[in-house]
Amino acid sequence: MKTSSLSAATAAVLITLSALSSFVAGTAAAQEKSANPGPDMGRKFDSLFESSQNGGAAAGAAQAGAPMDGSEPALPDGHPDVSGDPHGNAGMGPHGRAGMPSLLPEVGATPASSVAKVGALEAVPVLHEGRLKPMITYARHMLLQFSGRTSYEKLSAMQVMARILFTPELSGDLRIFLINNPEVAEALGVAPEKHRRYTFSQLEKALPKLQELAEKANATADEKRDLVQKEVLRVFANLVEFVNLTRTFSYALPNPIYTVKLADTRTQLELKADVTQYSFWDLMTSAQAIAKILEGIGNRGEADRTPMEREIISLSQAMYLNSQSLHQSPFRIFPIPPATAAATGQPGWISPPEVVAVPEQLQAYHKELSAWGSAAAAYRSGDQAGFDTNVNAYLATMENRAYEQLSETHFPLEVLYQKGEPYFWALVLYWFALLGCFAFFLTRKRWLYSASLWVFLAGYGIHIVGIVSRILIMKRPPVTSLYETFPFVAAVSILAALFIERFNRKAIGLLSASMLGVILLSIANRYAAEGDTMKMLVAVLNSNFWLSTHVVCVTIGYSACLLAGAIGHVWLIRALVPGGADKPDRLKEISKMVYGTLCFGLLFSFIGTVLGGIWADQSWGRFWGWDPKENGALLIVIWCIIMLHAKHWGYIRNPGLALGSVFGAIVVSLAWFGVNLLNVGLHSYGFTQGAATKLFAYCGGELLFMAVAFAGLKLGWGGKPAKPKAGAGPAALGATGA
Amino acid sequence: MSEATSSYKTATSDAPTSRGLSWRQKAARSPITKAILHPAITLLCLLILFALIFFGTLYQADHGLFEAQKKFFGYGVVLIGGFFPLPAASLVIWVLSVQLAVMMAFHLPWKLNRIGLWIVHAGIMALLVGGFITQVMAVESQLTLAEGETGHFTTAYHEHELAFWETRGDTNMVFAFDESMLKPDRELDVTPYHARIKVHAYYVNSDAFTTRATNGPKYINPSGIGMLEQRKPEKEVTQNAPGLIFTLIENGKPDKEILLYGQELQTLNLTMDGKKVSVQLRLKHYPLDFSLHLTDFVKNVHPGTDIPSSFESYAELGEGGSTRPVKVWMNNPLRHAGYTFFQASYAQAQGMVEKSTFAVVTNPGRVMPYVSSLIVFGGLLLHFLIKLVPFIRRESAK
Repeated sequence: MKTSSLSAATAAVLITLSALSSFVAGTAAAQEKSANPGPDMGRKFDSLFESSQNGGAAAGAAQAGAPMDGSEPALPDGHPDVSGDPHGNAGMGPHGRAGMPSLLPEVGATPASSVAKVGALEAVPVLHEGRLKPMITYARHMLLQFSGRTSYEKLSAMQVMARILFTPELSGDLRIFLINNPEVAEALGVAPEKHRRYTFSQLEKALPKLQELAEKANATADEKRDLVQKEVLRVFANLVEFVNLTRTFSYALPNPIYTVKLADTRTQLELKADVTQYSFWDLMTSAQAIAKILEGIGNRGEADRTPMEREIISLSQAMYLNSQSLHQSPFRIFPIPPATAAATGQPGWISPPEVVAVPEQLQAYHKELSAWGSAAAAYRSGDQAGFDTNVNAYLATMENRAYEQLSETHFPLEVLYQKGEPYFWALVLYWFALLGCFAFFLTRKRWLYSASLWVFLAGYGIHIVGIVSRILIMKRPPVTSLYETFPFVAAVSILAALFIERFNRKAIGLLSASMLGVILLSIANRYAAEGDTMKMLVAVLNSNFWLSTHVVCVTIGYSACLLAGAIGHVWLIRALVPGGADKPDRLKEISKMVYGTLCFGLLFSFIGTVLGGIWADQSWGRFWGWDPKENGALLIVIWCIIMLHAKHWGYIRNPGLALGSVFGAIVVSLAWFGVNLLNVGLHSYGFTQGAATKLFAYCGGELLFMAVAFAGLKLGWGGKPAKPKAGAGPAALGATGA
Repeated sequence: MSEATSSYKTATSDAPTSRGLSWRQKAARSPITKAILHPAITLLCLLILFALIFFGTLYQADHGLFEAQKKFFGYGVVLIGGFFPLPAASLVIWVLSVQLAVMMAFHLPWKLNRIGLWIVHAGIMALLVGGFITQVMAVESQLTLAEGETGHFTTAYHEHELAFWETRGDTNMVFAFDESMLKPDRELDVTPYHARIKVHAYYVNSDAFTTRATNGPKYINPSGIGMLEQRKPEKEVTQNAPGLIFTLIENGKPDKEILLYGQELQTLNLTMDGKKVSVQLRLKHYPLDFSLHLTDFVKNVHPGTDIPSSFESYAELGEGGSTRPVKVWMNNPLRHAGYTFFQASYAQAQGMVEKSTFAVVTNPGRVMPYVSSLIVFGGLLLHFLIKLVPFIRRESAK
């Protein structure tokens, strides 16, 4: 068995290889010259990679990783080896441009195939952004970050990822790079595409320009960057991450520099007979044979060597160079034993290129490297069974090594969560329920009501499963980020609406609930496109107690006030639509719902706000700091107080209450994410581009609706004025403050 | 109109005569009480408060928190949008507090089904009192220690003081004037050294120049500053660099014209009354009755990222000759002798000793928000249940 002899031989070979280093050094310089014939473009691109790599080193730990988050792309940290490329990319790849070799390997002599099912990869653990996640999460996150979607044409995120990893030379044509801002595409000189998505091959031509723009944007302070600059940084970081990903398994992929021309050499090294290009790893498995031959050559001069010996020497030189080149990949899949990690201060997981870069690790990780090497080969030859077997072999090895870290995870659940997309399906069912509700109001067919209710409840069940899954996966309370507030607020307001529906089976609660469900889950799905929704938390948030009390209470407050607003809409619309003998009674009932929901909202908003103050007092030593988010919560509280007291004293009646509750929903939207747009204060997380416009559009739309409804009520559109009693106190509609 | 709307009227208009009424009811019927408790005032105040917070938050984004607080949450008049006048928040809150007190004293009916409301309003009263105590008595300062360093005092964030001190043994005897006392043309006695100072100018924010204004006076300054120029205060109040020019008047000595700048590291060394005295315009110091010695600062990150997962300071608390180890970390402050130390910030750089910054607070009203919010919560919950339970019972019966 070749593999079994590998570990013993590896060290010997590497030592021999090292002995050749002086010999090699001369040739390397020559190679570098010829490999980079070109213009400054190539060098310049290279130089940024290099300089940022130094920057990364200065920062301390091995930050081989990805950008920290979507908003601030870290500069690239991998060395793409444009020059002095030991992988022999010196020649023009199909994606290259004159004078600049492509960053992707060229298509080899044997065209690569692929396997259709990559499900075996789903549960492979990857350390990414500080959390160990199954590869399916990682792949979906990556594709989302690149393209704004979680699938590509007919390929799933996993299939796209597999193609990038195992057949990088075929990944240049994936149309997966989203450029939101057409100005950016224009600036890059790339013909704008209809769907704003581009291939790597297209963008590669514009890399030098993109890099120049990214450098400029990077030099600008974060808050001063305009939209174009932010987009430039985002796209650049994505491309860099992509390139790094394509190099993840380069050790196992066939490479022109390991071309073996002589059949003799092939036999001698026990290599596969039917191909001419091999991978670093193919040759590494023949390390013992190589070592033997190199030993045999001894000090014999150039002239005395056989052609086979010469070929083997040049192969070993290429291998040595490869072992000297440092690749970084965001794909950290190899567990470092906890003891080693603690001793070196390295993070607990390491990527294949980082392993290959250190000769000693070849031996330590040879089982893993070998399994992935065989899996890659199987993938490329379309061998489904071989692929599955090797990936599973890797998983078995890895689980032995990392069982401690893995015991903290819920991978099966997370894989299920990722594949099941509960929020998406809940949203679909909510849509059906909403349409069913409308149909019921139009036709008054009772079965429509029942059907809508059951569809809705099914959706709600899935929705709750989604929330609970996330709690279990992250071991955190339900709300830790702006994204998570949407499904949670939706869930709470729906629960309250269903509670109302329970006592008043007139579909009003159901209608409000499905409206809120549709709106909030749609926002959540849009928001998910901003990046990973399961991030690690910064230190101050790293407290389950406060997260689960303060944040949950405040969001329940939001939920109730939103629900009150939604029911307020229902009231106003009902009041403006003429007809119905039971109209006055119906309106009265709806008003009571608004009032009760507002009370509920006040209770939780107040408690949430106060708990926030207590948390702030515990963390920073002041109970109240006039932080925008605190102010926002206070605004909700004050608005609820105003509404309840105005109603209590008769300054407003049911119409005013309905209008006020709609205004309350605006206040909630401003407090919820409006203050994030101010970009000041402790809560200015989750700022989203373009969100401002939508928020203002929402507020404007609601104010318009209020104005129209107010006018309609005054003009008696709904038939008889909704409130004929001219009682004591000021005009019922006057004091809504709108 | 629902039954909830009538409490105001029952108390004011339902009773036919004043005979047989309690003093409380009589007071409630007096025109003064009625005027004070007019609901329009309450609603107006709440609406104004709403507007102030809304516009104050927007203002804060552009002008910084300190300015916004001064403008919107003080006692003056705020011009919204530059033309629409509104009273500032403290004023409005006072009006609401008075209303609340009067309402509770005379107006809110003593009925069992009102008990929730009673509790709520009592809690709000306590919250307001707590806020007042905090506003008047709380002191916030900070303490930055390098590893291995011991702190005996904390420093203000932005308030400055003019300090005179001499060193006796390992103690500094300090005599200081608060910046609020440093008004132009004011004369102040430096009692320990039998001297006086006459303030010429105090700038909250200023630029310092080593050159001297043409024909300007020559000032004594330890760092060679010859001239100050006033500047508009910064958005972040902590970035202000104050400047002070004063005359030091001592018996039997010629007057000294002195210039001090808030960002000088050097102290001015003088001999006053036969003693060696240091003078400095510095961030206000608050002496501690104990000492804090920072042994180690630790920053942890989530593996493979720069996202910090925790900041921890390990320190020795020294008091009365004995020490004990303490740990301060996020969300877990150190509380001792009325002081609370919070992990607030840190400085970490290669080749540098790590530094840890604590926010230090003394606030006698600290427990008030806890107590009062608990009361309000209980009240709201009770009131909500009082209303909800009959509702559910009624609906279920249908």
